[in-house]
Amino acid sequence: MVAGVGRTTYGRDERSIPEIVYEAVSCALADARMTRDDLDYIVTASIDLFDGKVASSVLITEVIGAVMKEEARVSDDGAAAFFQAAAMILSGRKKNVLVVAHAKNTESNYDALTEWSCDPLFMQPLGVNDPVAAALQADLWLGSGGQTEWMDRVAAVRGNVSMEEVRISRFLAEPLRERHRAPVCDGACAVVLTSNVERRPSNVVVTGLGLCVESHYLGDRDLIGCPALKSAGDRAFHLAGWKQSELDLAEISAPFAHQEILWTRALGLPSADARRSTIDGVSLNPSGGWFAGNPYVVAGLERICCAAEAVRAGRASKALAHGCWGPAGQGHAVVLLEGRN
Amino acid sequence: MRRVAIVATGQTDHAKARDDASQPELIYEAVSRALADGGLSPGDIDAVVLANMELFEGRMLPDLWCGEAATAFLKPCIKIATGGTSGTSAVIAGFYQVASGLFDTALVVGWEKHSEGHTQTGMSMTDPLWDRNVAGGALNNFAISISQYMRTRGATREAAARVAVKARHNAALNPHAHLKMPDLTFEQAMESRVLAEPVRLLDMCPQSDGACAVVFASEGKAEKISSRPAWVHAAATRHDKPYLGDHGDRLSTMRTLRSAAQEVYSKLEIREPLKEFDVAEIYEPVTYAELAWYEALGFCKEGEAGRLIEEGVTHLTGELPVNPSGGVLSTNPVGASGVIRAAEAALQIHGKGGRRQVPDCRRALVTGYGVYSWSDVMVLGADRPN
Repeated sequence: MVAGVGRTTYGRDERSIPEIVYEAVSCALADARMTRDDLDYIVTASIDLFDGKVASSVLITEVIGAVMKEEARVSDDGAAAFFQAAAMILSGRKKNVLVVAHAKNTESNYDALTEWSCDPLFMQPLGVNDPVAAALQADLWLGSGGQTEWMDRVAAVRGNVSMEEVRISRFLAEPLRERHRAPVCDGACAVVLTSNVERRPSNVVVTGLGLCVESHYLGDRDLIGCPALKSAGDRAFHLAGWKQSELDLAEISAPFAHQEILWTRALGLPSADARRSTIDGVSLNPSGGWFAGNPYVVAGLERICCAAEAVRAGRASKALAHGCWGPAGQGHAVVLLEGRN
Repeated sequence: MRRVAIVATGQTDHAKARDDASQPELIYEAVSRALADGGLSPGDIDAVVLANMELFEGRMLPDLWCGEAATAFLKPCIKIATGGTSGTSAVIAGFYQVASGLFDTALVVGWEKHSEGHTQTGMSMTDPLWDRNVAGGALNNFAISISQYMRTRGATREAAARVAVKARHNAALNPHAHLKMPDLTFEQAMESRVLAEPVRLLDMCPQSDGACAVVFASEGKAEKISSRPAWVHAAATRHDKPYLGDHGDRLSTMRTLRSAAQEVYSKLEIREPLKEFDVAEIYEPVTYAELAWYEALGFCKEGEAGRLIEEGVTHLTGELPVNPSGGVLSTNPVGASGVIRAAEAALQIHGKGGRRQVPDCRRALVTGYGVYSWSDVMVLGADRPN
């Protein structure tokens, strides 16, 4: 059960990492009407290479309330940290778990650093990084029926710019242009999970969970079919006992425009057309998704926050939230949320 | 609540440099041994948790590159990175994944290939505003806290040298250990080269290349895989403040280890750990730390740690063998070291300790240490927990 959420405003932030995390955590605790004393466990998400710091969650132990308490740091997307936190609550041994994700993308060269996530023997020497991997994926998609116009439209609608601005933006890695990717920025996000499903005022229950990782080598992967996402989605829907058609809302993490189209299809959602924000009753990324400006590592947890807020406010009764990480989305996590009264 | 046990373990032959294997190949070596140990195949593993401090090798998201070597193809796979406690944190995370009911089995693999990076550069990347000016890596931190510890508790160089000898003699009985030194003498340990006063070469752990894997299974499944599953009885973690200057008298106080141990002892009604455990695999990056951990874990009173090692209480033939594996002092691939503690404790309960087997081992204590005094404590037992 999601008890509370909190976040910083995403953008370029001059504050330090502990300061931005403090803001997100204080908001989440206040939203949950809890204090650090109520927390049994804290799961954080951050990556040393981005933070420029060894064991970088040490920077934030005070502001997340982890001093003399239990904490573990997951070095993948925040949605993976959420998954671990949910598992701890499901074990029956923890009652209130705080999940926190942070990153300051403006303080590092994201593109260069993602080269170091690729196999150093076969992929890295080719200059593969996140944008390059995404571009190879987009190229395959265009060659198998995808249309440039569709991804231009996603980029325009989500990024709040004109189609023309998308089309004239510089090439990032052909066929992807600068405007086809979400802007990099700084920020932190926090979610409080509780085992107490009777807790009010929040009524957001986690009913489905799935996490799955594909093969690493691009040549071994089905970059269009996205089997890891499909598997994570199937697992989540199976646990929840839902069908895709029951969803009202989907918050999907797509750092590159074509991926929103690929991911919605892999999840078995009604095929998305970004011109309309609601397709067959499913509202897709009303928050703007990643294009509204989310940092890597935080984005998946932010999707969960957005979905939870929508359910709590009554804008949706069954919602899907998604996070991804790695080149061309090698790892995926899917969370299903339901409003209960 | 669902009961969970470690049913199989596997580790590489740890060494200063494993030039014969890439990082995925090291993982594969440990994982295939763990699967063989349990009579399992890759399809029997439902979820994977990895532990690695990728900054040391200059990588990012190495779980994506190396995951397949740990059977993580189209499976859930995440990585934990919490400094020296990465291994024990990951072991605890894997335990929770199976305890949740989401999975019946989970594989936890920790690894590090220090020979492929520059670890102490990584270790010096501390807080840029305050700590980085005085950062001198692990050695520096220990030199400072050991000086304080010797002054407040009367710990001696001699006691530390005895710990150094015990560790490397034990390692000689462990086919996987890195620093096997069966002929090491007390004099050699006393006179080894000073690294940073008062820490000498043989007081310090090595940097090793290696990997270690453990398999968790839920009750119902565990008994089918192992004839003596090592059940998880309790686990606790404590983290501490961000700045070096806040950790005065770290080794003497060690409030995180004390508090985590207290929680676990309280839960299990353990009052005399020296008597109530059959073996302890504790995370001792330096000889003086082992002495400090004896006191923090309640094996003896403050200031008595030297007596414990002098009287052979913690030797392989003593009342409570501590680190029959040779410990971190003999083998230290950082991401793996915490997993090795859990694996070595589990295999003692499994009865697979070979020449380092402690007879009739039914209850084991496991600890992890890292970063600025972070601590993990876990208890494994041959008896099914209540």
